[in-house]
Amino acid sequence: MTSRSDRIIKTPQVEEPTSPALAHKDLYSVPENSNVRIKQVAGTHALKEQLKQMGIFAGDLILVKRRVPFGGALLVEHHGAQLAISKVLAKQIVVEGPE
Amino acid sequence: VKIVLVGQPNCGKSTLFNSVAGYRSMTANFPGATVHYTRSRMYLNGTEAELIDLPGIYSLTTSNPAEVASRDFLLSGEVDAVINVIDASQLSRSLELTLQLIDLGLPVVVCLNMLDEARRKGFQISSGKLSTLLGCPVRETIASEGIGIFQLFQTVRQAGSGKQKRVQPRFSWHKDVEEVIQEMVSHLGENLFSLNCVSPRLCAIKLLEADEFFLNQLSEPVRRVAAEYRRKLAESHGQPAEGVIESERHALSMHLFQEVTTISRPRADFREKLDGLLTHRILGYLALTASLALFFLLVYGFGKLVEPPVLNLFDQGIASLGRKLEGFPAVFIVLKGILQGLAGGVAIVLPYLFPFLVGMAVMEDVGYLPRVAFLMDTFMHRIGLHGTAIVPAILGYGCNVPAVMATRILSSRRDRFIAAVIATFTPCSARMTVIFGLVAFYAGPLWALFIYGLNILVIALTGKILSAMMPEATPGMILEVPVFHLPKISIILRKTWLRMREFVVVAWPLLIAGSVILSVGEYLHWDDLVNRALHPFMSVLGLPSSVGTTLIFGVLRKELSLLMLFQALGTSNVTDVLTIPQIMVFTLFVTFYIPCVATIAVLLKEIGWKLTLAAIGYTLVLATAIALAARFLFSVFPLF
Repeated sequence: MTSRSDRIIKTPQVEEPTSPALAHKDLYSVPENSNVRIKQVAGTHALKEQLKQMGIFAGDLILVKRRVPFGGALLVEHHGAQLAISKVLAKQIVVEGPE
Repeated sequence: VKIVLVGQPNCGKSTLFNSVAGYRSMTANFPGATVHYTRSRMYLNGTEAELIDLPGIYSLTTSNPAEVASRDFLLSGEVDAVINVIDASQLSRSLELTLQLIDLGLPVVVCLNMLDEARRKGFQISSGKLSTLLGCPVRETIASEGIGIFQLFQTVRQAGSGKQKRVQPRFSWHKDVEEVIQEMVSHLGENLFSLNCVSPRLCAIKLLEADEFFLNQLSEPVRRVAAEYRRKLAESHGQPAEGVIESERHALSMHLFQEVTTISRPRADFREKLDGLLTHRILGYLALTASLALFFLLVYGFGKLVEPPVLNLFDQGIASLGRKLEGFPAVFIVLKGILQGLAGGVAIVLPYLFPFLVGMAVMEDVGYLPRVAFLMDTFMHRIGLHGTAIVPAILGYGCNVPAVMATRILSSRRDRFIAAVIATFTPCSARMTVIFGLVAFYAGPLWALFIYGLNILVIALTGKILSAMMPEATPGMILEVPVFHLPKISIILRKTWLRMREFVVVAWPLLIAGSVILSVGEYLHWDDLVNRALHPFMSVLGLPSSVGTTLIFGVLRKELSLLMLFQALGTSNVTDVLTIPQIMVFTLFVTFYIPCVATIAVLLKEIGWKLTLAAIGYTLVLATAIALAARFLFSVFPLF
């Protein structure tokens, strides 16, 4: 019991980087067919603008459907819409999950 | 009365427009199919109105020139009513634009389009509830089937007449944010003179979002006030002011969506399986190669079947006419010119152009292009662009003019320039008729395929060279990939006709006139002058000097270089005069040299005269180099 509640109140700084449920990573490293949640968008102002314009915000769920090997694009689903995203951009989107 | 169609990309604005105006605005199943606005007159219960189809926008804060055109039109003060077209299957995201349009203060009618698609996804949307919440009328349509359009325009007529009384929307922003907006509005007051048509509320919100366009319209003191309020918002919310406003709008859209929609299980669909195949890491590329090969074979097969018998018919006609008019050489010369011009169009251009344009239309309407963009993104990155730039490149195979205009969907200036140059290099349908009518016909389809392959290589190299000269990184692709649509035969045919009309009404008369001029000139020996002037150049390429004039005609319209070739050589069997290597050299030169007049005109508009001149010079040098290399190679390796 105590160990469980301990885990809940752990602050992010002390969390184990190997824990798959909590590890921070970029969208590009997510395997096919997994759902992740957008944590934040790093990168340029232009990228942030473009994502926001398309209604993509931190906290939203994203499903990675397809990935092209050798540095190719990702095909993701967001709120029922499919989007193709270049590797350079996907690398700047920080996500958590899979959940 | 001016009514505009506004909505996010690929929500069916142009389909709706066409259902009222006839097939005038090019529709296709990819975001950004419309890059400039189309107008049409229409009658709404006896009163004349103008309907304007605008390029799609995700927000009133814009990121590319196509979107800027839409925003500027919306803010021009000329608009009487707005039809906000929404893809109902993307309701939550679409509402973000709707909220901004409502703040704009113009009469808005929301058109919930693509209801069939939404139902398939399991969305049941209560349009009555949405209407109450938004405070504006909401109508349901399926524009591709023509359903609900009459009712929509009835509503628009009432809204545009200004008689309908304003209803307050039933949604609200968080109180603290709303207060800041209100205070900002009170500061705007008379400062809005340069934007007199914009509602103060929208302006205030955009200033808080630090939208550069709106900031630049206002005086320094107002900008300072805006900065002050942005700081205040940022302080109280712990994130930048634009983030506060955007999150607020996002939350509101999600909330509205959840209020009006009940979600049930989506219906399974064969299209998902098809999508899975076409975007697969291996099968996707195989399918892409297979569909391009099939496309090529269909165009070649159809043309090969139709060309010889029709050409024969005209040849016999001209021969028998010659016998009948033996005593009147002048009349015969003119008639022969006209007939040969007609023959060129009917027998040589249309048999390839028609199946090609049908194939292009099917590819566009099915929604394959965004998938190709997805698959080709890495390749495009290697040549310094990103996946979205494949859309103008592929459109270039139809015609370079819309292809250059389609570069407006790219947000970076550098990308637009490189994509525009690449688009002018893609062999358009006119050059396709030269490649098929000459090379495939005389040297075999594999050689035609070789030219297409070589062309892709040249495009890749050009992209590499240009991006090395402009090392600024490409921003990368975020492209919506819409669901597949079964194309409608009637739409495909109307679209094909709209494009073929260009050939029939512009090129054909020019072709017949040119044909007559050449025929008469030949009789009077004018062509000798031109040919003598071009003689040195032609002899370098190893071509007879009589071919020189055809290259001049080719600058007017590319297919003319083929058709005038028959005319200039005085035969419909080119191999009587030219050897196969000469045919290859000629076609290679025609494929790569100077873009046609119409393309030059659109390049001037999109990239300016300096870069256009540079592009023309580059194509000329490149075409000569390739033709010379081909001449040399074919003389060393006699492949034919």
